[in-house]
Amino acid sequence: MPERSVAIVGSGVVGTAIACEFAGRGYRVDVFEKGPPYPYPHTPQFQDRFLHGYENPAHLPAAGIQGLSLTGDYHRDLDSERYAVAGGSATHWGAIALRMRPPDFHTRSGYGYGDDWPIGYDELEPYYCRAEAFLGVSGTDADNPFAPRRSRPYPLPPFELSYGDRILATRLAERGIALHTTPQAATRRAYRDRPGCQNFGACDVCPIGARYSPNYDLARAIATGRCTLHTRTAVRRVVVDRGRARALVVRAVDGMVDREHAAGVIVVAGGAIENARLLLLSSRERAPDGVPLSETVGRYLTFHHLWTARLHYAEALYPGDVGRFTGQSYQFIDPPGRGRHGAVKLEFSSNIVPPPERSLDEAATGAELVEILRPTRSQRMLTVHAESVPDGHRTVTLSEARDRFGDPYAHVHYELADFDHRTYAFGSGLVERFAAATRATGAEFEPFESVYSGCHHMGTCRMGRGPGDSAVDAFGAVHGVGNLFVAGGSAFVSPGAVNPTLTMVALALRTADYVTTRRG
Amino acid sequence: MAALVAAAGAVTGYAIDPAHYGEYYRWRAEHLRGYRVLYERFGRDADRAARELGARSFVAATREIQLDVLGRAGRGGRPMTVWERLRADVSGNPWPLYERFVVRETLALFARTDAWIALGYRGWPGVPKGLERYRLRHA
Repeated sequence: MPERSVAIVGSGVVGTAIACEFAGRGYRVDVFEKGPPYPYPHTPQFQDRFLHGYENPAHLPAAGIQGLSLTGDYHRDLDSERYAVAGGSATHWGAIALRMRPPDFHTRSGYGYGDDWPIGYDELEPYYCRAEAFLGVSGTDADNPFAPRRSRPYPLPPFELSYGDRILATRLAERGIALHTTPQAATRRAYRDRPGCQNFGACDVCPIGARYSPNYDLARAIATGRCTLHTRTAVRRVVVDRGRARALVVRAVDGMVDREHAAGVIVVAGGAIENARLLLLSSRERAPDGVPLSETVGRYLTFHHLWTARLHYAEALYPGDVGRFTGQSYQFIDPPGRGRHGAVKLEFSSNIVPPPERSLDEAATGAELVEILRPTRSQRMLTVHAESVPDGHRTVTLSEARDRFGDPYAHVHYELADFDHRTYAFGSGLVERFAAATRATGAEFEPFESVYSGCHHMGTCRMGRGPGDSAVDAFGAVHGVGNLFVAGGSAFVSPGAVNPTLTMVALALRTADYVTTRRG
Repeated sequence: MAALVAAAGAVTGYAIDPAHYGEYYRWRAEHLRGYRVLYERFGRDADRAARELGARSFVAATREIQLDVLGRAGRGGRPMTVWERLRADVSGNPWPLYERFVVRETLALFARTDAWIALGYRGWPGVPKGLERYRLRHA
């Protein structure tokens, strides 16, 4: 086993960022992904979806790979929130790339809830810059008075407010509310060898790579000749020997035997739920060559909390004319009442959502379809992105149900807290303010129970100062196992209110930096 | 294929681009199991039904006749009852299949493409519209 080798569990945006960093610095890199290959650019997927109306089974995970169990107050399908393909969930993401603000790292000392991170914004700021460069983020802070300080400008100019968002921004400004542009990992102009966005409006499967997809950088890492992507290969255990992670136990999804893959550094980057599951499966409690784990592993699972309102207007605002989301507001991200409730970011989406009261299947002719859809021209979806509070009652444990190899799936238990009720009430009040300020003729807000994570799962392997309070240290190293790292959202201490992916990538780059430079 | 495109024109009621719908049907016939045979049967059955109503063929028929023919497949947006589905299966009546795999899929294609134009958009999702005009509403 070469010392300068790294094995990465998971090929999503976090695993990919780490793979690129290590491959770029001469390491031998192996990335393990249990899902199938996923072509890039996503032109075939785009053709399947938009031209042929076809879901290609080649892009679905094998049977017996996903099947977590769920109890508590979350009622959506968590398996469907985790794309098991090469490139992971960021093959489909919205690409909103936001920085958390300095107070988000210190909610315990600042507001009396949650816990403080062992690092602050200033330590992460250079990595935010690098993450923005890595993803190719288009943005500006010129119109956002609430943006945190930055040491480098965005790599690309912003996507300006859409036609509808400009109208709404003007009305909001009259009431003292700022609606500003949205930084996002989509190319306003050509960037590196990615073309500029051409507004296909098919951002989920951008056919030209304008919206960032990890597969772009996976291909670059593989092209170095030092990185191998092992698709359809499940990681079953991490093996530890005398305080060091020695190997991963892996098996082809359709295989019959395990094999050990040794590496000098092991990085677990499979998302908050699977990271905790893998560590729990690898626990020293279960095997003599297992990982010594903090009791916090699997605890403090935290979702991004999203609720969406449908606002009706007298005039057509043409949502979806531009595929990208353009208007959002940071104004309530550090509100005066923070502590009694959490922070909130608001975002107008470009999505067209057919009216819930009439199904498109009711239509017998094109004219009837158009009439069902017509109101959507004059409607905007306003999403409340709410901060939640880390809570020991939100957990990932091992399920009774087992996967195709006989390993327990993850079991997720997620309870909503009084804090979340109060944050929802705060967000509901903001929806009413937005509706009034923008002269909406009607508004419906989702009920509290319909909370959606936005596919943003955090915590479970939180960083901290020692095994008594955390699973990993401030660089993501598992306490007591110096060459085993956990990267991405699972290392979050608290989630903030903004979309977390940029912070996940910044943390990943910081971990890679630590391993390759400071740690030696 | 001509019968399918004619069906699309009739069921949508809009002046459609035949190539857009034709390409959609062609891909499905070539790549998805069962579609080629279904489409061929649909063409024959639609022609037969149109002739019974006095037209030379389904393609040559008026929209009124075409809709009348497609009405054998349609159920006015009403889901089939279990009894209707069972009766269709037992009798070998192919029109419920045409309803599901021709009429409904054509309307679904229309909903995600031409309906956007009918609503006043410059293009539908999947068509590159460029970024230079999205801030300004066109006439």
